[in-house]
Amino acid sequence: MFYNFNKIEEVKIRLRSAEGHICEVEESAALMSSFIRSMIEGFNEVTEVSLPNINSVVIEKVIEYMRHYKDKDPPIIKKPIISSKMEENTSAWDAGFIDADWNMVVDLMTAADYLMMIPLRDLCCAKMACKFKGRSIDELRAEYHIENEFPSEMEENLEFQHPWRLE
Amino acid sequence: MKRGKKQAFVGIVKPKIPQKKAAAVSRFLNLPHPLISEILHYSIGSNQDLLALCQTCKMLYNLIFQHKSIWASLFLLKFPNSLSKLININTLSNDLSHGIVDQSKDWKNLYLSQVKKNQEAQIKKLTTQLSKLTLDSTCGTMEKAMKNVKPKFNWRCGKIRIDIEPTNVVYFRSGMTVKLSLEQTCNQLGCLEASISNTRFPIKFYSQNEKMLNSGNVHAKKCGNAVCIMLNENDITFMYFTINYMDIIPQLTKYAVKPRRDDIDSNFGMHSYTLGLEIRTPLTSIETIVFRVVDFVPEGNFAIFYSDELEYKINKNKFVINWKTIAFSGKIQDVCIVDCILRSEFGEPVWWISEADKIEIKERHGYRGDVYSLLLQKDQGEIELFFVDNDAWELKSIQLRLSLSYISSIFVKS
Repeated sequence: MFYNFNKIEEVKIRLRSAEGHICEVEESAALMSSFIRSMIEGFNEVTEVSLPNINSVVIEKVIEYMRHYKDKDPPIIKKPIISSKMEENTSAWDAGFIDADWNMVVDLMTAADYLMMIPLRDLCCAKMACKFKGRSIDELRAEYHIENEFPSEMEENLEFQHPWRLE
Repeated sequence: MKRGKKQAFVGIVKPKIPQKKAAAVSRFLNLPHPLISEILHYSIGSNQDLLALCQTCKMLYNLIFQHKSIWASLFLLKFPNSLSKLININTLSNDLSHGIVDQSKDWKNLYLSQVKKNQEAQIKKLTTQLSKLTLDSTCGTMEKAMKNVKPKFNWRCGKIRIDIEPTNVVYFRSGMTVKLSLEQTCNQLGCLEASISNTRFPIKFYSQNEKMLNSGNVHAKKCGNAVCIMLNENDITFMYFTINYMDIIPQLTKYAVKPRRDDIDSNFGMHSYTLGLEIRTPLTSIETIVFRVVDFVPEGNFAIFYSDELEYKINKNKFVINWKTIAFSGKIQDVCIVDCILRSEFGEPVWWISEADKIEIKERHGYRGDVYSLLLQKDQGEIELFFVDNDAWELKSIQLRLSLSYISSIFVKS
């Protein structure tokens, strides 16, 4: 008698999103998250994890990342970044994966932080640093809706107070 | 630092954030601080980026300045050799990758004092190099030195401040052009500031005297050593600043015009001087001339050097100043820039100028035909180039006039 092991279905973990939707992911992929791993290892036969802070769109994106790196280690992104282009800081797949709008990157980053997925969190942080790279103060304020809280005289002198600015 | 906790600034008013924008603000500034700190660690490669971030708001300012691991990472990144004397680099690197940093060390001050030390050494090296080169009349050495020095420029006018990209600075043998294209028109000349290493200083304009270089829909006006392109009579949209290297070097090396007195004669001892001259457009050199034996003679209240029988033919198409902005481009004919440095017999710069002007008719029906001239004036001195129109502009002679009061003042100093 022969068994086809490939056909044995892997245990799936059900991730419940903030809206109550269920997204399924293979256990081996889900273990990438230290948070989910601790849930599974801590409570036997846990197959559903509730993630009330993460919406289903973000969970799907996280699952895509988990599945891609199920059997391999994600590349390490060097600190600091060397370019404003993500392709020059990490792999082409990672760069394509994180090529999302600002809100999605923020959501993914907070989700990765919550799920304790360091490589994904780092990827999001690097993406944000890329978005900041080469931007002037005014551009940063305008783009990220940051109010200028500095009195004008102080603002003028700020730059020249720092001897490291030209290093 | 906890969110919501009052910051260390004096007189803080709660930030006024419009309701519409509040949600957007919360996206970044409301991220947990460890996450923001992680992002900052990816941004420390460029001090300009880090500086821009810390100037955007007080929260980021405080976060950056209080975060020891950022300063430790900066130190490790920029000065690994100096750091190796203080601590085991591998241990620190490993600790930092796990978010651990030796809290007992004042990383910020350690890093800043290292920066200061490096900058002082750099300035000392530059100053020595430039002091030597100031006395070197060999063509091209100053250009090479200034390219190494890489001065940075910014332009300010009221609250507007523009950092000029290095690609908009063009170097020549004794002067440079700084190109500035304004997105919004401005009705003032503003202030150009140079910074070399950690030293910054304003570039003094020779004068604010205005002179129209052309007319029409687009006006070109000369204001001292700036050429302004205006959409109408007041709205400046583009500027070229012409800067002589000697407008910058003395501010760094404390060079003062004090020529050595070797002898006294009826010609003020001003003989065997050297005059280096470069005729150019803002972006390209046209002709370089070096007069090796420059002897002055007194005439009225001036000491004069005159050289004729020159034969330099310059294609008229080369005497043109072009400009190009996103909105429009254009050119002014018969205008060029002259960079000039007069040096004593010991190589000491005595008088210099870098300025643009228009070639204008000086004398009709002279013995060489119509004579045209280009006259540049600064500090009680002036240089005049004489041309004849011979299909091309033919440079025939030059005259350099220095007022006796100027000569007295520099020799009295010495």
